[in-house]
Amino acid sequence: MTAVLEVQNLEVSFASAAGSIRAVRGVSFVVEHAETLAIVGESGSGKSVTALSLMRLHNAERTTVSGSIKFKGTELLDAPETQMRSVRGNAIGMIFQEPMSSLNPLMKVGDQIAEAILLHQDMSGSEARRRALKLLIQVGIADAERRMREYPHQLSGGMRQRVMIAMAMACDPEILIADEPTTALDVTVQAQILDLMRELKTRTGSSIVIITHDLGVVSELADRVVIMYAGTKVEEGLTEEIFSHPAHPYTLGLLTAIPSLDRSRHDGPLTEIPGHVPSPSQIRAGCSFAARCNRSSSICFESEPKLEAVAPGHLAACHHKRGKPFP
Amino acid sequence: MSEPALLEVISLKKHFPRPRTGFGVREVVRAVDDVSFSIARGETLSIVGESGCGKSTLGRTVLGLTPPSAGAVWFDGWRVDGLARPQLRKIRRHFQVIFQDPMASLSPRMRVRDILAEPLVNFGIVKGRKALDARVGELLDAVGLPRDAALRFAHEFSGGQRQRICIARALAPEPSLIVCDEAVSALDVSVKAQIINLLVNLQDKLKLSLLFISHDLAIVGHLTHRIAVMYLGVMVEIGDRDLILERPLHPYTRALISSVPKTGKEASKRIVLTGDVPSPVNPPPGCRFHTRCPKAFDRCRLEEPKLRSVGSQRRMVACHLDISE
Repeated sequence: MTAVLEVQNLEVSFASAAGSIRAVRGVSFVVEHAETLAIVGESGSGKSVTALSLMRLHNAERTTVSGSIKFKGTELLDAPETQMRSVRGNAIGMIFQEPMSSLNPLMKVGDQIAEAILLHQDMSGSEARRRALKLLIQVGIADAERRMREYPHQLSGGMRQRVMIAMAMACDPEILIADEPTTALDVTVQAQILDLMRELKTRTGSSIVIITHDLGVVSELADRVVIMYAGTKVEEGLTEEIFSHPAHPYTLGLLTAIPSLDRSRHDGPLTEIPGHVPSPSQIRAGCSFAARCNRSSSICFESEPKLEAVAPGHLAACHHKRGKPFP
Repeated sequence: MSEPALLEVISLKKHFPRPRTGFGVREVVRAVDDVSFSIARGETLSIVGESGCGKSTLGRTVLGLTPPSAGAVWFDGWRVDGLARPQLRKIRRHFQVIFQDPMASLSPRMRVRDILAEPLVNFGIVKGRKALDARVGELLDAVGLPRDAALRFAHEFSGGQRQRICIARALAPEPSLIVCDEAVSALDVSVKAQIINLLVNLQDKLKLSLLFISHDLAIVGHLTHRIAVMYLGVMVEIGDRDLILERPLHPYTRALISSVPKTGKEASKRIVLTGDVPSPVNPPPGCRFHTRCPKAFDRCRLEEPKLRSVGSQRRMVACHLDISE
């Protein structure tokens, strides 16, 4: 396997009236060729900020990004803007949570997709439109020829997300970044979109980075998982491994806190994680999860735990992680 | 059941006329179309369905926040639909509501003490400053907030704590029914469990009835006694939790349940529906689900199925298919 994307020690902070806010604090991960990596976390964990910084979509004046983001060996963080433009939407495609606010309301959807193609590829307008039509059919839009000529507001939520996917796939990207792609959708439509993403991945062989808070979506789609909490990576491993043997108490908490269809109130209360996610300005020394953790001891409040392997490819940052450190 | 139901909703309809366009017949959105159900004391009935199925409108109509177009709502022996405001206000202390977004339902200018004291004063339940403060303290205890929260404003709390304030306010007038409209949907995963456990505990302790409106089947599955499934303004299946979740009969219920992503190793075999929910302005004739139903046949396109008991008396299904448990 070869790494398509290598993120090393990523730090993102925002300037604010109250001082600098560190939203992402030293996160590293690798996306292999043709794999689906899920970045999981709650609000404020820094997962969306991480996704945006992969594409350098931050307001450059207020954001400081450091570390390294390498796309097939090329450093993106200090690349000139012109080079970034040839990467965005071309080598790396992106899908956002709310398709209505990401699509241009004044442009017909066919033209929007064609625009993305024309920007990056040497094609004539009519060729680009033919390609757009083909993409719409591929993402399962019925009556695609008519839909091409419609505006985003004329489409349903599920169809808009399909258009977003068609646009992101327009230039055959090597990586597709999907930031909460199904959160705004109904479950029956979510099932359709998840199927579509799986199908596109097997057909095109592109890698997918999916950002989500929904562990159900993770288990359906992802090969590997990165769990984030308060701006740091707390655990990483193969999806099956994480679900069956979570090493970090936060991961275990997340897994047992979610209600499932085969548990009723007679099976007792859900496991609670006390307290709430700290905001970036509240983060103190030591482990950021210590105050909510049932395993925490004095060391947790003093020193920040390092990421250590508990099994090959399975890392966790916890002083009291389950399992002995793997040599 | 020997005890009469606390809430009884009979053939409730809520239609919204659309703005007139041209000379044609004025269009009507049939948000809720002939829905009936009842809730016993201490029971949770959950209304599930996708966006636009009418579940929130149903909740609002039951609460009297919007008058029904037809049908009746009986609450604890009173007929509460179509009541004039002064009468409705007197009865309203017995049924309260918790909405999805706590920040939008708490006044940013009031201290928590005043937010919780307001219903107590309005309904004339507690009089005198001392008694009020004591009751506010009890309410904060009940929802697991520190007593010094009383002096703070809503924006000083996290999302989960704000929802606790909303729950405390709903509990203040000692209601017998609380309508929860997506009450935990906006919360983070780790906080969601806290609020769900709190609701279940309070219900058991206070013998509350809950009308729990949600799109999240996993949450519903955890806390409910009975489930009603809505599609495009009509109820397609209603019954005990175990029956609906473990042996769903209506093709829509089956697809809905199989669409829920599962955690864990078991490979889920999904029924993926094609298309989207049609518009409630012009719902399909016959069975409203026939355009997406994998099992639709001729009769489904012509005749609207009525809810009928299937198997035991604990479940009703609206479907023409020859289904049995």
